Amino acid sequence: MFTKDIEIKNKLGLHARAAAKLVHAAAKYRSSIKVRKGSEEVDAKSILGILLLAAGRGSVITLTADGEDEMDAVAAIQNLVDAKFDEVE
Amino acid sequence: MTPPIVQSPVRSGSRTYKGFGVSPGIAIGRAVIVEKKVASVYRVPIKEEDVGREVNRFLEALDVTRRELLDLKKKVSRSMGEEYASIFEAHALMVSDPSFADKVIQKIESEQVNAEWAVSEVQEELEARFESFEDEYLRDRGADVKDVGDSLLKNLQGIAHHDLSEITHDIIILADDLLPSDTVHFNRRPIVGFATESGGRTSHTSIIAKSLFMPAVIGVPRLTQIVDNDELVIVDGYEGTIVVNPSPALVAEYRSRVSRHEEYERKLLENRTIPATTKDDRQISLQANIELVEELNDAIRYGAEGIGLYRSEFLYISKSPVLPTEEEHFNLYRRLAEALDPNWVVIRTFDLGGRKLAREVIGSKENNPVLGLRGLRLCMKHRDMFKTQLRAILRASAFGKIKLMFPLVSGLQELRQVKTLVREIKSELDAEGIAYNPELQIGIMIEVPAAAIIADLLATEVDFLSIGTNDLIQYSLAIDRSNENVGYLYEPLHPAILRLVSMVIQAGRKAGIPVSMCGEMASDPLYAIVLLGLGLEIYSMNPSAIPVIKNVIRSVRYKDCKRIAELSLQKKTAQEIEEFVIESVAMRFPDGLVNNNP
Repeated sequence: MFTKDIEIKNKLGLHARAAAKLVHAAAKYRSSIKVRKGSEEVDAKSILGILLLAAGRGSVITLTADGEDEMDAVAAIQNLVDAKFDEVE
Repeated sequence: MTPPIVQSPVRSGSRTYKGFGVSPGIAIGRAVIVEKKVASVYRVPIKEEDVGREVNRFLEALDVTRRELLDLKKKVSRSMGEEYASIFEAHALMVSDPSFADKVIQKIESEQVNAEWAVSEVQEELEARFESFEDEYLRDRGADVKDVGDSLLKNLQGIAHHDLSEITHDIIILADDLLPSDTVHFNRRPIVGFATESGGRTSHTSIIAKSLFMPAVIGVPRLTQIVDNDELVIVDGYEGTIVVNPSPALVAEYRSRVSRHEEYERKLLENRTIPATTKDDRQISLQANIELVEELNDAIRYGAEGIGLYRSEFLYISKSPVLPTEEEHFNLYRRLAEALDPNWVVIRTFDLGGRKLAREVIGSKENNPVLGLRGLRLCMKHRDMFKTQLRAILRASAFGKIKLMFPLVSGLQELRQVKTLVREIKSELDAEGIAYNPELQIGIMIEVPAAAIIADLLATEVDFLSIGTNDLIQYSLAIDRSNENVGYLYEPLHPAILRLVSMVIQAGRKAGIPVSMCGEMASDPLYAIVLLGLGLEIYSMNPSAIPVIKNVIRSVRYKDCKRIAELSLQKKTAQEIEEFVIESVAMRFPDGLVNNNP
């Protein structure tokens, strides 16, 4: 199991398109991946779950991956978040 | 297939309504009115042994909806780019999301209810959760959930009952407003055209209509109340009108107009390479207004001598809610300039009104957006966003013939500020060693009455003027054309408008700079004659109008038009002027204005 805290940095937060990108990234890995914000934890492969976290800019999410490719999975999502989902502001 | 011609069950007689044509062509079919709300959903208890079948019905609808969304994504991606299409991908993911489907299935099974009820219950629960969000933008994502849930409900009901595709005659879709998801169904038979009550020229509806090559008219007031389901409707995307319950003779006329128009257009296109010169050798330049790069082909095909107005808003709309990058701007403008060389392209900086798309970009909401933060004011307020575009335009100017134009200028102060900003960006580019055209011409739109009145002052500090008649008329006459109570007072030939236009043309002439017109007025044959007489030398219009106006110009003498304009300026009302112009044209050009006499 591998866990990491990540700050959301893009202007609009985890909106529909950003969430879609995150779900796509997560779906490439076999590990089970959870995203937690506050007391709410959701499946990283569920777009509705991600949207319902209401993670705006500046909020911190905790990624937890469990499985053979857990490190890669977390790293891939972290890269996406750090790259602000390739959005321009 | 030809729909049968029958009399309307409720109202009789042919009725014509005016809107705006956003996608050319003529479509004839039976009205299907799309209500914004999904048909009422009732809770229907089902038998235990039917639960399995109900779940399957739901899964089937889910699959259909998902495939439709992916299909739409592909289509939109091809015509409008990946980024614009990605919202449909997000919607498809929502449909496939197990946390949604599982809840619905659970509800069907545990409560033994119909799938529609279960879907709408889960949809409502989700929407309520989104509504509780503090972040305004994320809160609005509830709309995505609603959009997806509604398509699902439509499909559920389609599977259970019937579907538009079962209709064997041609149909016209009429709606108050259309969501992107509504258009999923639009490019397939039996739909042949559509019309809406709302929608601006840069709305989803108009953009999608264009990319589907489907005749469409928007902005028809009270459309869904004035037409009944199954009435025969003609959508005339050329004229921007819809004709309801036309007589058989009128239908026949429109049908022949469809074929006549094809013939006419073929003939018109024959003049694409000859110059727009009056019989007494006055040279006129006809250019195109475009907003999509895809329209470049049209502009060239119809013989435009350059782009007199490139509306740059679409890039923002297609990227919304994120902003386009400098590179994206630059690549687009460079492509335009290179494709048009040796002709010019006039790029107008963004003029996003305070409407929905702008709200996503700039986060403001206004009571009176037409008089609010728009045009150059908005550019200057969101200076970073503006600088990105200006830098890109300057950089692209090194690669072709680009002119820069600012919208909605109302005074000199504003103009000087924005020119200072351009100078600052130029020195930035100098410092970075990036190429641009140092002689880049800067012009302004004249669309605020104040600007028209001080056109002489403005003309001394710019390289060109372009009259935007749509807004100039709206602001001068205090008329919202889409308002049915006052729309009839939208009069391009109002003496005040003619005086303003004349003043601007004179001001340009005195300052020795070119004056063009890029409003709709320039593409009307009758008005074109008056404008020619007022001294206008550059007309910019929708590409498809160019061959028509070229024929008009080639049929007349400037000297005659000048006389018509002078006498028009002495008339007292729009009606007197219009009657006078029509009479004069009939007298001086008895063969009509579309005879292309060599």
